[in-house]
Amino acid sequence: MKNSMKVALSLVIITVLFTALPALAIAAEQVTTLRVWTGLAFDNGLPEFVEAFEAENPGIKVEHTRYMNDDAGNTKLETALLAGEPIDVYFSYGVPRLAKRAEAGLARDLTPFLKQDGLSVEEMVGTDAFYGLDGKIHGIPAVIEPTVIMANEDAFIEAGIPVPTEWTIDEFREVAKKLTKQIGTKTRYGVYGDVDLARMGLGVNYWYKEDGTSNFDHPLFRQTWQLAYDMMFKDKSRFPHSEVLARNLRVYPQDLLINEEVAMMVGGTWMVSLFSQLDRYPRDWRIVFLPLPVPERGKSYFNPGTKGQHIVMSSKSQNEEAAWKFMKYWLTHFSDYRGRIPSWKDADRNKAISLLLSGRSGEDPEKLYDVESFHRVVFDPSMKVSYDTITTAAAMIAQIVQEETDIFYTGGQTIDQLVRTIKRRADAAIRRAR
Amino acid sequence: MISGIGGLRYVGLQNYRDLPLDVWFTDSLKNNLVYTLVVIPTSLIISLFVALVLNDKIFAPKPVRTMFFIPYIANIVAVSAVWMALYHPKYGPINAFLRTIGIDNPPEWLASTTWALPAIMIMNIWGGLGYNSVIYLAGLQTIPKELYEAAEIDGVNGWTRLRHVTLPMLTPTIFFLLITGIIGSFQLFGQVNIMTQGGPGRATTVLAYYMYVSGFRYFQMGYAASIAWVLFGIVFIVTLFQWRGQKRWTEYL
Amino acid sequence: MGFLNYHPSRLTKSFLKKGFLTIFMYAVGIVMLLPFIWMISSSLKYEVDVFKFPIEWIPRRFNAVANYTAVWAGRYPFGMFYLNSIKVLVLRVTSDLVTSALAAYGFARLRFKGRDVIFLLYLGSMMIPHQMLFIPRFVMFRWLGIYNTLWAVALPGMFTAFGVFLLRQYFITIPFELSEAARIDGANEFQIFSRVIVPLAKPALASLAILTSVWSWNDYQGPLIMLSDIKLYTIPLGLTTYMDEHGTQQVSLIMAAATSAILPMLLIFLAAQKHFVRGIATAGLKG
Repeated sequence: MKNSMKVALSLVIITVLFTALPALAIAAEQVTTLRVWTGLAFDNGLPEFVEAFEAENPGIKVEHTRYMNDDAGNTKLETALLAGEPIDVYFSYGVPRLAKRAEAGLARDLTPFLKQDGLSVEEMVGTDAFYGLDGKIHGIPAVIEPTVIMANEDAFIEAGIPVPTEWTIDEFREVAKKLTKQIGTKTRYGVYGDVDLARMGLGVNYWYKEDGTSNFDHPLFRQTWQLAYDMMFKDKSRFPHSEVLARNLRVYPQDLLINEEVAMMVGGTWMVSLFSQLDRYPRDWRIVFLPLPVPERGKSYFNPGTKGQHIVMSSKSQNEEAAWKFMKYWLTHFSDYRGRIPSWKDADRNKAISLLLSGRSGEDPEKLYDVESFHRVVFDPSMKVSYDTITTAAAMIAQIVQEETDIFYTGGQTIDQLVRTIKRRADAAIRRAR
Repeated sequence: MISGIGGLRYVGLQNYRDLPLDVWFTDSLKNNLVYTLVVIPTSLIISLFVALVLNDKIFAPKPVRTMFFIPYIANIVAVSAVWMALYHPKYGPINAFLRTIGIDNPPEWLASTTWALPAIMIMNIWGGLGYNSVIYLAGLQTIPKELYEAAEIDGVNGWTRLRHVTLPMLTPTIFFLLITGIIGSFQLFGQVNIMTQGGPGRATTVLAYYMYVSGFRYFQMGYAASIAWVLFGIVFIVTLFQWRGQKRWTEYL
Repeated sequence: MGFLNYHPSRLTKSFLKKGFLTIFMYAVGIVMLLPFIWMISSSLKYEVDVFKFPIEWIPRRFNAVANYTAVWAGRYPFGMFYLNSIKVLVLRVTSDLVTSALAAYGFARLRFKGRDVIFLLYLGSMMIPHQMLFIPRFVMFRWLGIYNTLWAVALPGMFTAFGVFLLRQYFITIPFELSEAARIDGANEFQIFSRVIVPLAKPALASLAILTSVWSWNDYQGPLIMLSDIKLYTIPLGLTTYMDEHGTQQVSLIMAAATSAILPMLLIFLAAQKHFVRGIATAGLKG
């Protein structure tokens, strides 16, 4: 065969191969396939949940994709949504991101679906949550995530400190210092995580002032940042920020508690479901729960936690009915498969809590946790979770705060510069967004 | 622009006017300039010496050339993964080594606002040595032996020969490396996206990275495009300068 | 060479100097490779041994099997990424070779109006920082409906100005008498191309093939922007996913994954160094 023929033939073969193969795959699709993107770490509970859903809804198949809940992963999700990928349902973590996606038209308004089923989010979840822009419902929070402190009980026992049921910031600092110690070549720091005094004091829409500028000149912000800085550099009792950056710990820091690199962890209750997996997180001590320390005893504060993990229907979804079915099923039943505190009224909260505490392997909760403290702290009847109704330039502001505090916590600027810069840039971002 | 061609809104030059006010942009530009000004000269000078040595001053140069070249063919993700581990402030071998030779507080590399960009610079100088050396070598081999022999007869040796014979003959190669080097350095993206995401703070954000972020994270395609044009403009101007310079300064036999 | 150089002690001195430099350069060469040696060594270790200092270059206890199985048979099957990378590579290399060869023939052996101007335009296009093209490509590919397919990754590499440039430089050096002779024998342009030029240009084609292969294999930003379905990921993206999953908690696994990612290119390079180096050198010289 002549050379040129060979070349032409091979080109044709290659082209045919690459175009025909996918076509064959598409021909096989008979059922409705729902594509769901979640940021859930590790599969536990998800496959079983999907099976149960598919069993109840023959004719709907669910394909779930996991995306990493950090900047890069979220950008991936957004690029895919932007490009019109066939994603039907996705999860959005944090109000700024949801607001950004709603603004970009990537989330469908769920109001008609709710109306059709005679449901109202205020009733099913509550009025203290963010749902969407301009009165629309762009996402429904699936869980309640109060911020609590989870601590190594043995650390307290060893240091001879009784576990407090409430405490001030100063007492908190003292305890953190006492719990910091060297174990072999490793350091166990007293605490990991932020105590967001500003959010605690201001609660709703704490980034914004009445006049439309940003609120970062409020003294509580300065206090929050200064506290973090002092605990890292003066007390040396807080896990250093440089290591958070070097080890990429911003999204999943929970290992630190189990590895005994910190004695206390400020975090959300979602970590508890991971901690209950003893095979992944082996330990022989109990986790005890403490409330966040407060500036002044006796005053009432917000909890920086929120109702979150919004489930969102993509605006480009072609399978709305199936997607809505899935979403309702998730809100009601997912907590049966994986421990969390559901926000949906119809979900079985008690079942969820027992799953949360005993894990899928059915451990005895009392062995893993100080259960009494769990109930007392997490379900404190006086707790008010924070929420936002204003979201102007929220995503940009979140990025600005993260960046500037990064610089501050690695010694790149002073507290005055930090406050000034954040205020200036946030104001500019808000102005540009108008 | 997200809504497709139909949704284009004409904002005129507004994007370009916003650029200098945008601290991400100015920092990206600054980082790019610092990076280029440090990496390119260093790289070119070290590679030149490597090439000179490999050319005729050692036995069996080929394996050495291979060893130098391997970093170039390794993919950027793998290389970033390795260096991220090496640069780990607490446990990484680089700092462990520095501590053994008496430096008590070794830099925190990728987690430090001062050292993050240098960390990437070091990585890329390392990575580019092989490529540059190979090109120099090829250039060196085009220098006619007669020139060297003539120099020998005239009693010219060592440094003088370098300055007056070798270097002038290498100018085309040097210019080529300069141009491609500068164009390449302004395209820095992979390591930033994988290792530091522009941080800590804004210590390592570069134009290509900011372009990606503003386009795909903040959905500001138009703005991202204007950054692209600035990038192009810079590269174009630099190339233009070099083109002119090349015409004037290189010698062709 | 003058007789001066045969003076005995001069000879030994220069021999010694050369020997010393040789040892020195080999040492430097090894230092250059240290990151990779560390990578391979870590991929064979238990996680806890990875950061031990002084570094255990040869692991005392081996966990290689477990590590590599975890990478290849674990959650994100590396084999899938390999397959995708190979698909893209084959597509890009074959298409690039064919189209560049044809175009280079035109630029090198044929005469037509505006030939050199167009060639200069080709050259100019190589100067465009490729990031500039990502956004327009994204919009275009989305509109064409090939976003999130391997085509979006392969297409930009299937027709390259660099290939045309490299081959044209080489084709020019082939004596015109040969084409003339073939023409006299009655061959048409295409036959001259396929029967005379291509066989003679095998070295240049080999160089181009290898260069394109390496660039295709290592392409990161392209797939990053164009692919969102993990089943389509190529090696660089697959590796980042792997890194994300396991963060800094499992360095040994990540090193095993990184080694697996680099290995094919390493082998190809070692086997075909000659072509590779020549390809780059040609580009450098004629640039």
